[in-house]
Amino acid sequence: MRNSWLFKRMAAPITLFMAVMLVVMPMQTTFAQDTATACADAERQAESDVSAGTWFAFGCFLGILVYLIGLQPENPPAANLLGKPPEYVAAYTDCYRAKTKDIKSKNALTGCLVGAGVQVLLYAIIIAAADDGDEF
Amino acid sequence: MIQQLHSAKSMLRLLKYLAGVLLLIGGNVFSQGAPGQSGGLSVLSGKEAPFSTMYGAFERMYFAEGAATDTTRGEFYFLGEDQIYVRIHYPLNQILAIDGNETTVYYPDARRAFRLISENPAAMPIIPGLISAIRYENGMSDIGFELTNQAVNGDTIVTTWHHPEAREVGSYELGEVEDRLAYSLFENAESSIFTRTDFKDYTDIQHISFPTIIRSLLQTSQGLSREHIKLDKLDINLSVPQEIVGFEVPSSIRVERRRW
Repeated sequence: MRNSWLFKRMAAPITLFMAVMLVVMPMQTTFAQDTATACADAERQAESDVSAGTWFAFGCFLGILVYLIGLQPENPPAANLLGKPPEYVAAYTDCYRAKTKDIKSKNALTGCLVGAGVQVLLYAIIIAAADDGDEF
Repeated sequence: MIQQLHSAKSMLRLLKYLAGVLLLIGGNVFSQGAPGQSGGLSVLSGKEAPFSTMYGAFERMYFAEGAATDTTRGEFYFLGEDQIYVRIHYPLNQILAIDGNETTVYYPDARRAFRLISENPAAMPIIPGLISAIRYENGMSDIGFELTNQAVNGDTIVTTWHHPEAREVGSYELGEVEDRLAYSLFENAESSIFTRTDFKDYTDIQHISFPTIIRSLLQTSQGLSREHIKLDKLDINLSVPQEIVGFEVPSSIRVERRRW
């Protein structure tokens, strides 16, 4: 008896909640899809725009100067935002920035280390050659 | 010492050219993940335009492997160097205005707006493709490319272009029919990037021929993508309404600022 009263009292809010969820859930799914798609698109674009090889070369030849100069050759792909919803724009810009930064810093650092290693090796060869010369 | 400086300078020059060429082929004009689409030379900006303003309506379709076709319809006003106003009608109402290093994206229905700040001006939609189509030799020699071969194939004059400082990067091929650019084609040395843009259905506006259909195909390691742009109602050197020239997001809307 008591359970039946409780059920009647709860039925309306539960039904309302379920009705709202039926509307909200697809919207949330769409939002999540927009964000995921935007991020995937932005990362793909960043990989196209930022050349890993160029940044490796910059790092290799300019070393730490790359960061000091703050080279940023790419023009952001604003046109990719045409016809896209606000959630897409927000996610796209965040992911594009993160990905371009990631590609640049990783490759410039690798280039910097490789460049430094080659320099050390060259100096070692020069010093060794000079030592050999002194022996004669 | 002088020799070292000289070799360092040569290396820097080579790097600059390599970066330039990589930007050239890796730049974006209008599409998602699609370097070199919408007319090839994305490094071309509004600076090279032989007109002060331009208006046009457009429909753009984008197809990528494994993704649904993306259709966008709207109109644009080119307002001079690094400035464009684009109003999208389909699939939603949106205004995108680029003014130098600032890009404003406004949604009148959703009452939301973004201001995107970048170190360099954002890549303009449509305009670079149109400019590259109407420029002599597609603007190749202006950016340091040299003509290495010329041939005639039916009614098409085919020219091949290489960069003298970065020959190994790849080559551009241009096809011209009756002094109008019919296609541009780029293939890198390893054949891992291939892009072709066709320019069709030219229309004369104030003694300048503009293509009204620009079809691009891009093949990279990430897959194949295609972009079709159809232009209509093109007009140049027109006076632009003040609300477009001095476009501002309504003061009642909070503008979200972001950095690219």
